[in-house]
Formats: sequence, C-alpha cells, structure tokens
Amino acid sequence: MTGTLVIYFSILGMLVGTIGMILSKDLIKKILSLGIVETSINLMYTGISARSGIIPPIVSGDFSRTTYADPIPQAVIITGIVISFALLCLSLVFAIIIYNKYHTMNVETIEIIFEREER
Amino acid sequence: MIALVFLPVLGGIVCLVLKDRKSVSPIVAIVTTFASGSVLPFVIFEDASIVLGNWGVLGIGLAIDELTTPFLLSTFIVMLAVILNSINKSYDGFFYALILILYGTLNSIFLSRDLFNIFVTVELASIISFILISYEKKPRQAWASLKYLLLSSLGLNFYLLGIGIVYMETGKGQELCKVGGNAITTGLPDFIFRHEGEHRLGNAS
Repeated sequence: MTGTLVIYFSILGMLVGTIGMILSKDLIKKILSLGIVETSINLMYTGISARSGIIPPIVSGDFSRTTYADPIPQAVIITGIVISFALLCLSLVFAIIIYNKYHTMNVETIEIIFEREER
Repeated sequence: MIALVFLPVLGGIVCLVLKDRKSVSPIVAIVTTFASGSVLPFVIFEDASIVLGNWGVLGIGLAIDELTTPFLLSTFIVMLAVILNSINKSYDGFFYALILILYGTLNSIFLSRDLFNIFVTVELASIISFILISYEKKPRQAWASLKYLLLSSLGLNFYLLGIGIVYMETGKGQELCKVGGNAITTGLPDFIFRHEGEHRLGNAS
C-alpha cells in the first residue's frame, strides 16, 4: 500500500520535472528540473522495494518476521545516483564554459548569438 | 570474453598515464585494438555466458549469442577505422584514452545480460561521447554537447522508469526462479523470449 502510493507520487514528480525542462528558458533551471526527474526515479525505486514491507532488510537472528523490504532495487539504484551526480557535474561544466564566453544563461539568447555568428 | 572489455579499458588507462609522450599513445591504441580484436575469433563461434563474482544470478553476467556477434564485429571494424584515421592528426593521449574506454564500454553494452547493466554502460558511453564532442573546449561544442546531454539523460531516465515497471511486474514470486533469476538480473533477449515462452506454456496447460 505504501509502495503503490510512493510510486504514484514519483511518477507525478517525473511529469513535473519534464514539464519544467521543456518550458523553462534558463539553463540552470533546466539542470535543476533534470535533478527533480532523477530524484523522482530514485523515489520510485524506493517505492518498489517497499511493496513487500517496510522493515529494513537486515536479518539478525530473528527470522520470524517476513515483511522485509526488497533489497535488490535499493542496491541497484545507488549506481543510478552516482551516474546522475556525474551528469550534473558535466552539465555544470558546460554551462560555465558557455557563461564565460557569452555572459548569459538564457537559451533563446544563446541561440540568437550563435545564429548571428554564423552569418 | 572478459578480455573484450578489460583490454581496451586497460589500454585507455595506459594512454592516460603516458599522456605527455605524444608518440606512445597511437601505438598503444593500435596494439590494444588489435589485441582485443584477436580475441574475437575465439569467442564468437559458440554461445557462452559467464558471471563475474560468487553471487549467483545477482552477479554481473556477460553472454554471447547470435544477436551479439554482428555488433561486436562492427564495433571492432569501426574503432579500427577511427584509430587508423586519427594517427595522422595531432591528437594527444587524452583522445586515445577516451576512444579506447569507449571501445571497451561498447563491447560491454553488447555483452551484458542485464537490463540495469545496459543502462549503466549506455550512460557511460554517453558521458564519454559528451567529452569527445566538446574536445576542443569551444563554446559552440559545449552548447551542442549540453543540448545532447539534457535530452539523452531525460530519455535514459524514462528507460529507468521502464526497468522499474518490468521489475514490478515480474521481479517477485517463484515463477521467475524457474526462469533463472529475477527480472533485473536477467538479460534483454534472454529474459523477454524465455519469459514469453513460459507464459505461453502456462496458458496452454
């Protein structure tokens, strides 16, 4: 029950982040919206592992309880967190390179500047 | 089979360490590409699968089947062409290191049996290609690379959503233990075909 609720909330968060990436004109806001999407995916994997119970899967001699959380999605999503951190660093590096040359973060202004350079 | 992934990454690390000597890196790149290409005739003619580590179905599984073979051969040919073309240009050791690590990562994509390992390796290949696009650090290249980064990471997040739904539908229960593992630790062609067959058999009987 808890897991299903968490999964619905995470899909809502993914939609909010995607709409933010599409509609916002600022580069930093786009990167932040990408962060919202990635965090929602992590939340969804937490919800998947919470469907079979919310007791932490650390077995210490007491095998009577059976409603442990599923440990496989939690172990798997750690790699996803690390990858999203690397992507955040790389995108901020590219944003810094662009800002140092053109002194703006607005996407439309950058496109206009590149079109003007081509002529 | 592990040499297909391990040799190019090792050559890339050697190129990265010997970055200052410009004459060493192309030789290391050619030698590494031919070495991992000479492994190919020993592995592609028979179906095989190995699991790294003593974890059973939870370990990192690599497998070769008839879907893998043309991709491995085409990756080898394209990478050999790229490296032979870039000898005469004035690239430094960093470029050859990135190209060799990209070759190992592409081999790892086609060899892996696991949906989540495919996600990790595709993401690694994407990061290497972002760095290769903005190789000369011009703002125009950085802008193109940033657009590609935002779109592709959004798309790969939706791929991760798909893996989660597949795991939710099939990950639990004993019927998957018969198939040979749960959904996340079973490969793409392997998992889909065998699970479909299991369903049809169950419906027929």
